[in-house]
Amino acid sequence: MKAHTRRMTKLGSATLATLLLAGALMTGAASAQDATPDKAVVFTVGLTGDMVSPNPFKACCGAEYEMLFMNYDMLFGFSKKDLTYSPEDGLATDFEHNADSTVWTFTIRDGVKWHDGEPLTAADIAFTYNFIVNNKMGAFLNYLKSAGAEPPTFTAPNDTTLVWESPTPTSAPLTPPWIPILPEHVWSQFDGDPVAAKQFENVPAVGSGPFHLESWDTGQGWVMTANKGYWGGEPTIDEVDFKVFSNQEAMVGALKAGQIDFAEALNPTLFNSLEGAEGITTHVAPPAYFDNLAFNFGVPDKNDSSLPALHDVVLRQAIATAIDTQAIVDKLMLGNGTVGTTVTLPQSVWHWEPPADQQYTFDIAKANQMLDDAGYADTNDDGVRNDPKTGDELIIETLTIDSVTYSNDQGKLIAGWMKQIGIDMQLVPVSENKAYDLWGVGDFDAYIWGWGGDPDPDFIMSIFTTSQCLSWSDGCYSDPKFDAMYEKQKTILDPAERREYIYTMQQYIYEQVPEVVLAYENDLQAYRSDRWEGFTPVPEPDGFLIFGWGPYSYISLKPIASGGTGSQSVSTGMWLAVLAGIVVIGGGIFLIRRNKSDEERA
Amino acid sequence: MGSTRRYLLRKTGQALATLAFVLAMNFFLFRIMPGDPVRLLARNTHLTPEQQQEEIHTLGLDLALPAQFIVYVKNTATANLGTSIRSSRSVSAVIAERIWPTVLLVGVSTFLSVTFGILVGIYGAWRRGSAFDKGSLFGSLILYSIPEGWLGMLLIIFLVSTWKLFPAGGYAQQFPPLYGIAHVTDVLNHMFLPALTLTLGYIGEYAVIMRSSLLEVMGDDFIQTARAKGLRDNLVRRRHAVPNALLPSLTLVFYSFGFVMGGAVITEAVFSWPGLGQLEYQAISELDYPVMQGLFLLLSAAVIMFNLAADILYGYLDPRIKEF
Repeated sequence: MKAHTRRMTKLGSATLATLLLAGALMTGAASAQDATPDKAVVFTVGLTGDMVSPNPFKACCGAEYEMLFMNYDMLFGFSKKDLTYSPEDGLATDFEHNADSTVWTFTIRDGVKWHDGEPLTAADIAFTYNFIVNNKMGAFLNYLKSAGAEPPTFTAPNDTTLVWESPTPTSAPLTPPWIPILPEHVWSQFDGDPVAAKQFENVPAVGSGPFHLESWDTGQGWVMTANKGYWGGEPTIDEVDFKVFSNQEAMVGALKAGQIDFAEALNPTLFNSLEGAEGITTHVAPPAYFDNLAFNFGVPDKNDSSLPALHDVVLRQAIATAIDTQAIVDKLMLGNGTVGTTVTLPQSVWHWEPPADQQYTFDIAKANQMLDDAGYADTNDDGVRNDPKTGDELIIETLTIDSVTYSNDQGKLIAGWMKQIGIDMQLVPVSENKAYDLWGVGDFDAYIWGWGGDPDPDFIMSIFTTSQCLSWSDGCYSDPKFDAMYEKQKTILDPAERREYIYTMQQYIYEQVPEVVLAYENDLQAYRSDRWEGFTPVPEPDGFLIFGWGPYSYISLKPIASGGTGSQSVSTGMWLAVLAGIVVIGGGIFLIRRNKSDEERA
Repeated sequence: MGSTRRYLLRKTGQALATLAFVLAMNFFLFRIMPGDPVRLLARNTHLTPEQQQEEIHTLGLDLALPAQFIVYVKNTATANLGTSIRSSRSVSAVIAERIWPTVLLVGVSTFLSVTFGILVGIYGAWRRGSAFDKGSLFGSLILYSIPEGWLGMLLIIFLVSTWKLFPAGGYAQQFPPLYGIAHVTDVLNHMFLPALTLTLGYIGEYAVIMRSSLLEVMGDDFIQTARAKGLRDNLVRRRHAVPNALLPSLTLVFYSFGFVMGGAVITEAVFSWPGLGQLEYQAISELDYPVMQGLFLLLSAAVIMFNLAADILYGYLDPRIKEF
């Protein structure tokens, strides 16, 4: 009887396994068939930072802005050519202003529709701007009014005319305002309640841009579908899928395996590892950030711990002369960066590059000579120079920030060069949180950090003004001459004239050295060139392929017909086969053991 | 019966008291950490000092600490965990969407590592000195000491980049979203590597602990008695040795299941798994107090509940404990 049962069991498990395998093969075949018809053309972007929120009023960083640029239009776009204001890429097609530039009148594009089919009119633009001013909506407010100034008003006398009236002369419309235009019929419910406005989920997001945010899974990514009736050109592709990775190694693995089509913001080591990889093209995009060594000048009228000697421009210039910026680019960035000079990014039309004879070329002997001449002698023979005025040792406590890519390593290199000119640079590595705390109260001598910023130079110039102390200023740099220059550039309306003036301001900052610009970090991108072509680099000719202040590449991208396929993941059938295998092996072991124990017993 | 009821009441009371203590700790602990959340958010969004003040006011961070504490207790009691400073979304919603991926991944891996770990421990100890014992002990110690982040990276390099078998990260395919069996397979594909990493990473711990407690029991007199009665080897092991050796492992098992809610910070980070561990890391690095508090409350409550369950189960498994 017992033996009979056992045979049945064996027979049973064999039958089960066969059935499972058969089922597995069938399911595998079925799913392969399902996948074939009307497949949407999807471009998949890998990135390492998720959106904070799809709500424009919570926008923080690159990920949100990329979504906003795709989902919404602005009054003016940023031009593909040089990132200045561009009527052809925005909702305003034309504009004029009165003699003292207090009243600006814009002609608004006709026939634009929101993603939900409602018409977009000048009233929506007026609503968006008034909403921001009336409800004091953080980040965007500064584009419309400067701090302390009376707010402007916005009206729409008809569907295609917008009037911007400012109490004081302004050039703000041409910055241009980096503000997504929102549909009044969706957002008017939050007028007067900024907290509720910020809590609005905004998925799916009704906008007017070439793509439409359809869904967002926090921590995983978001999906944007093409707006086929877009006024600025119909996207060839159907979808852009943004996939969030929490580390770069996995993202690069996914690119190699063909699970994503584009990898954004790679670190130099992984970027270099991709060079020559089959089907993948690497692209060195321009920098989006610069790294700086910023000095603290102390908070006026407050007891502070900053080093008084740092007020001496000769000391600051000597420090700049003793920093080998080329070594920073070569050794730390593995060549994927540019030597730093002024506080605007090198690809920008606003960038002023100092002529070779005016640059602080790395020269330890010259730096030593400068300090000797200025009277910084080592009075107590401890290897560290002393301030001739106070007798203090030249000890510069410098914060380096753990989570900022090169900060700690730049600190180590610079401290080494400082030692050679008799300055004791003591490095204090801190977390980003701690750094914000110390920065907020001005408790440091110097720090190594960096800035990104807007295409327009207004913001980066503002951080060197006196009024930004303990706000955006790096170290409370204060110079009445520069403050006056900053106010003046705001009133220059002629772009060429303003550009010249911005050059002068950069030259002044470069000579005064409130901070040393160490390097510009290139944005390193890589993509599956075996599957995609037709990117639009911004600015021309070899700028950012994506993440470059506009949705241009997503509109022009085309799949290559003969392109490689995605990676073959384990299918349902394989999983069932594995399961069946486990059952068979497990059953086998079980039976063998039963046999054995029966024999033992016998 | 009376002693059982007293035991249960005492254990439940202790659990509640711990929970209350955790509630208070949660609040004050996060406020003595360095960093100012508003400034952290402000650097990226160009806020003026006045706007920062308004933001502080909206977030209730301008109230005195005791006042903030009262608001916190009141809200927690009404299951209102507040609003995330970072995203302005409700904390309960932010946490809720992360619970399932974590319970799935960490739950399954804990189950697998417990099951296989204990089995390996039992067979190793029972045949002490055999090739299986030596091999499994060596393997256990190796796996126990391998950093899971490194193991995960190796799996990505070989199984994703080179052999292209599994997705490099994430929970499921987003577009087109899959349903039914296709969705299950898709999640299994995504889960395979992180689950393998976690299972391998923890299997050693259970194997080593089970092995040593079984070895201890095997020297006891009642095992000799059982053998002397002429019982089969298997029966001695199953009915006498293993049940008595299981208690230390059981503590560990309940403890581990309590910590499932803590997520697996490193493994989730390596495989971009959208679970609680990642949320925790993000909340801590951005000083998102309400999210941190919500997460730690959830984690503490889970650990306390599982400990209570373990205590209660112990009372039945080992009646001597009720006397203490």
